[in-house]
Amino acid sequence: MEKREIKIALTGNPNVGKTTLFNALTGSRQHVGNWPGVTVEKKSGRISYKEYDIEVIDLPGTYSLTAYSMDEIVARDFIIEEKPDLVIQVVDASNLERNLYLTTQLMELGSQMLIVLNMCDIAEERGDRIYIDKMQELLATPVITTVATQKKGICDLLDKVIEQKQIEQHHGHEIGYGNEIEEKILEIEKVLSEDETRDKRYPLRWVSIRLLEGDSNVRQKISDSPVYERAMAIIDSIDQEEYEAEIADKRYLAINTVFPQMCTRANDTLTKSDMIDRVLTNKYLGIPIFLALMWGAFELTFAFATPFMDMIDIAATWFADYVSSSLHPDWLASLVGDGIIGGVGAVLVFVPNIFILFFLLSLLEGSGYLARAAFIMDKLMYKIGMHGKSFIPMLMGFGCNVPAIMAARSIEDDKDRLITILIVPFVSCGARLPIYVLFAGTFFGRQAGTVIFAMYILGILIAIISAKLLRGTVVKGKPAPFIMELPPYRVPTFKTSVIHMWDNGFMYIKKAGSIILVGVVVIWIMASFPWGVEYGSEASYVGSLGHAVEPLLKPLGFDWKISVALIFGLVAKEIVVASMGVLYGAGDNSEALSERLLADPGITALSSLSLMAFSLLYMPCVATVGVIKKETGSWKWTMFAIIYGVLVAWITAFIIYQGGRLLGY
Amino acid sequence: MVDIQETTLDTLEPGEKARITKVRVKGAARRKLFDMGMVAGADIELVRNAPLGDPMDYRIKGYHLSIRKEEASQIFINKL
Amino acid sequence: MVIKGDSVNEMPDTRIPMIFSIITGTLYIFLGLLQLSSGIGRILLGPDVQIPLTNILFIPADIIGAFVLLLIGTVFIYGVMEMRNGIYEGVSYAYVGILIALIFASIYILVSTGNMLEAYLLKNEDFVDWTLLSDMRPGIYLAALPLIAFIKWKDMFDPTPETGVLKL
Ligand SMILES: Nc1nc2c(ncn2[C@@H]2O[C@H](COP(=O)(O)OP(=O)(O)OP(=O)(O)O)[C@@H](O)[C@H]2O)c(=O)[nH]1
Ligand SMILES: [Mg+2]
Repeated sequence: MEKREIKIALTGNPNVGKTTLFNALTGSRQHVGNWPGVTVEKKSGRISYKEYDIEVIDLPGTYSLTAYSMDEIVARDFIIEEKPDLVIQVVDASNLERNLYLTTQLMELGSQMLIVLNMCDIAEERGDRIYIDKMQELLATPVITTVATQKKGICDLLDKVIEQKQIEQHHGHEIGYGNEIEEKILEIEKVLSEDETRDKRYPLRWVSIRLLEGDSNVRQKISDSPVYERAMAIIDSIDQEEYEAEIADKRYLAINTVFPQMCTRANDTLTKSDMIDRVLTNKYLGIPIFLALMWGAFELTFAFATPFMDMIDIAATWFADYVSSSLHPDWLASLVGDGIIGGVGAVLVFVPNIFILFFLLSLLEGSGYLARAAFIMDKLMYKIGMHGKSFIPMLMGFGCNVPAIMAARSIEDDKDRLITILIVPFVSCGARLPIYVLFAGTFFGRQAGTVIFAMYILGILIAIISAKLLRGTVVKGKPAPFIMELPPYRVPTFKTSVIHMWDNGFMYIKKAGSIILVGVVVIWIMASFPWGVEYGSEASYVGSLGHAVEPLLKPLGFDWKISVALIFGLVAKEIVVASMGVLYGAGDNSEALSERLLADPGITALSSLSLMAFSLLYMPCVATVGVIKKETGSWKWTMFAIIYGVLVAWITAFIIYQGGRLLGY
Repeated sequence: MVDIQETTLDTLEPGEKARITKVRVKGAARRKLFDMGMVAGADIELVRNAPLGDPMDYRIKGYHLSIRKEEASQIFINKL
Repeated sequence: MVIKGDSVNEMPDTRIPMIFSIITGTLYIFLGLLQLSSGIGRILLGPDVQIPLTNILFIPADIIGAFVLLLIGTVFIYGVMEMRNGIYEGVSYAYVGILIALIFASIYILVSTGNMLEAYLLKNEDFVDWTLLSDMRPGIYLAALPLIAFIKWKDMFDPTPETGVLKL
């Protein structure tokens, strides 16, 4: 039997659990976090239920249908233009009043609706009482209760979706805006209705109200209508700001008349979340605690990972030995042993760090502390010309720059967002960590931790200086107002954190098995040819390539081998380490890479420091460049990011190397 | 009778409550504030300032909303 | 007029969290200071210097760790000051102090577990002298107090909902 199709969209305020519900419905593993603005793109999934094939679309959160930021525009356009069969508004039961504001707007839009009352566990624990029957009656919309984190209420929801599909009825539900506004609405409706060619997807009343509110997006949508001028004449005759306030007032008034009938709220007691906030955002203790926690995360990422790294190292060495002794002919043994195992192995050693890093980042996101970090840092960020919300992408950048740049979508102001995108690449991501660990570990012994920490600080400093610089020159202006919801703290779910860790950690492994593997093979081939040269010598192709760029990099203390590594590192920064593995792999296999590096007079402690700084800054990896292009939509800014990065890296490395030499190192 | 004095939101001390009378913020932030529940007649309480003094953490309609002093100074209130 | 017994406005008792915070906070600050002097002593006077007590109390010469101890201690004491002024919300500091103390203790224990793996499983030469006590430090053993308090929190600190629903 042919299955019948239903298309449903999950919408609602940010951070109400849409994605959690989406994952529960479709079995996906989309990113969940306890801060507003996690989802920035629409995602779709499918589920077969009874005789239906249901397509579920998870949308970014939005507080109203007036969209400000890119993610909100996605949500709104989907609901208005793609007209899903059923719009499901996910509502935070513990924060009902504000959530209903969006409900009033969705109802005006005339969509077929269903309300999901999520987070019922929290409302219940707090002692709030919500009268579902009364709510259904007052809103004239079916209401389902769920606890998405525990997958409670999922079947009820699906049954209701199907039931609603079969009814196919449509109930309008309108809010009265008072005589004066209603008259204007009628006037505009009348003018608009004369245009026979108008887009029938938008209800007239809705368009009229939007115009009165001064919604520029809707204004643009009717801008080629023949009656546009006449409609605008009415709009221009009113006091826009007054109307805007009045309309919002009336909506809240409507909510306030029904709200007390469907919900009684328990007295505010001192919740655990309030208690935590009192201390973590304390005037004197807030920032020291933030720094201490960051230091703890850093300590854990490196110190706890060591034994696991050693295990991988032992396995790789054993494997390389086995391969080189058993594979024939010699060139094949060299390709597999020196090239693939030496190169890819050098990258895989760092898998434990990457896993821990992402696990910790996920705890940061899941607890709700990330939103506080933006709150705590806003003033500092404002001083350097940035928005407090930019702090969230910056922290996420420690994991991987690509999702961090995407996260900037929830920043409303275009300039704030552009600056964030341009400086996030300076935040040291997980892929750069192997470079520090290898070189700091080799050349700085007991001081390695300090050196690595210094690299992280250097990245942040450069990001700050760049932001200040950009604000003063190419992106002039002031940061936009900071208006942000602070969600309650939650205990991060272990499962979510493990999934986050696994998915991101696995991506790193996949990268090692694909891009880095290819890079390593290319380097090995170039190191072995032209035929007959000594492997990895200056006469080989890598030798020539390295020598070609060496003059540019010589002032930074880099010889031809490092130059080659840096060129290939343009693709992905892990390749810097991988190519070191390949190029230094020619020696005796029992010797570790770091020992071989130590033995090479071409690299000193000072030049390794310069190399770490250069690798940190010089250019975002190919994936990051791609996402910068996608998010800025401009080649100009993408090229700017690349050239600026290379320049900054060169200058910084130059200062470190030449400065160090002057000081006698 | 209660002595009602109109002031602005940024003069609120932590723990003090007030009722909003008028929002004078301009531009895109204006409607955003409306969307978040900052409308005339709403009750609001200052929970605390950020460690560096700005922004502020307010409780409104049962949730926490944070805005800067600059915007708060353009929102008029009656202290309760 | 004073109504005895079930007065709703009566602030919940903060005596227990206060005593707990004083004891724990003082211990953390005391050992933090010792660890700080041990760390500074090593930098200024060289590795052979011994600050009294550091040996028996397993105090490493770790300055950052010392700051963490001092920070935790300060959180507890800060709460005491608020509670002494009659601000009930001061218990927040006891609660968060407990959480942070436990977080750092877990970090130290995890790192120590890593070292144990190095020593016993991988038999790394750098760890031949390693014993279970090598990584013992105040950040770990002091956390025993917060741990007990964390488990007993409901009985000891929480205002009982029937009589003490407090209003903000
Ligand atoms: N206690 C409880 N927590 C929940 C429930 N549903 C979701 N959460 C938590 O709420 C937070 C937000 O969940 P998300 O699914 O990311 O919210 P979202 O609506 O997709 O948020 P945006 O993508 O930012 O709009 C997460 O920390 C979830 O673990 C629930 O039913 N009960
Ligand atoms: Mg989401």
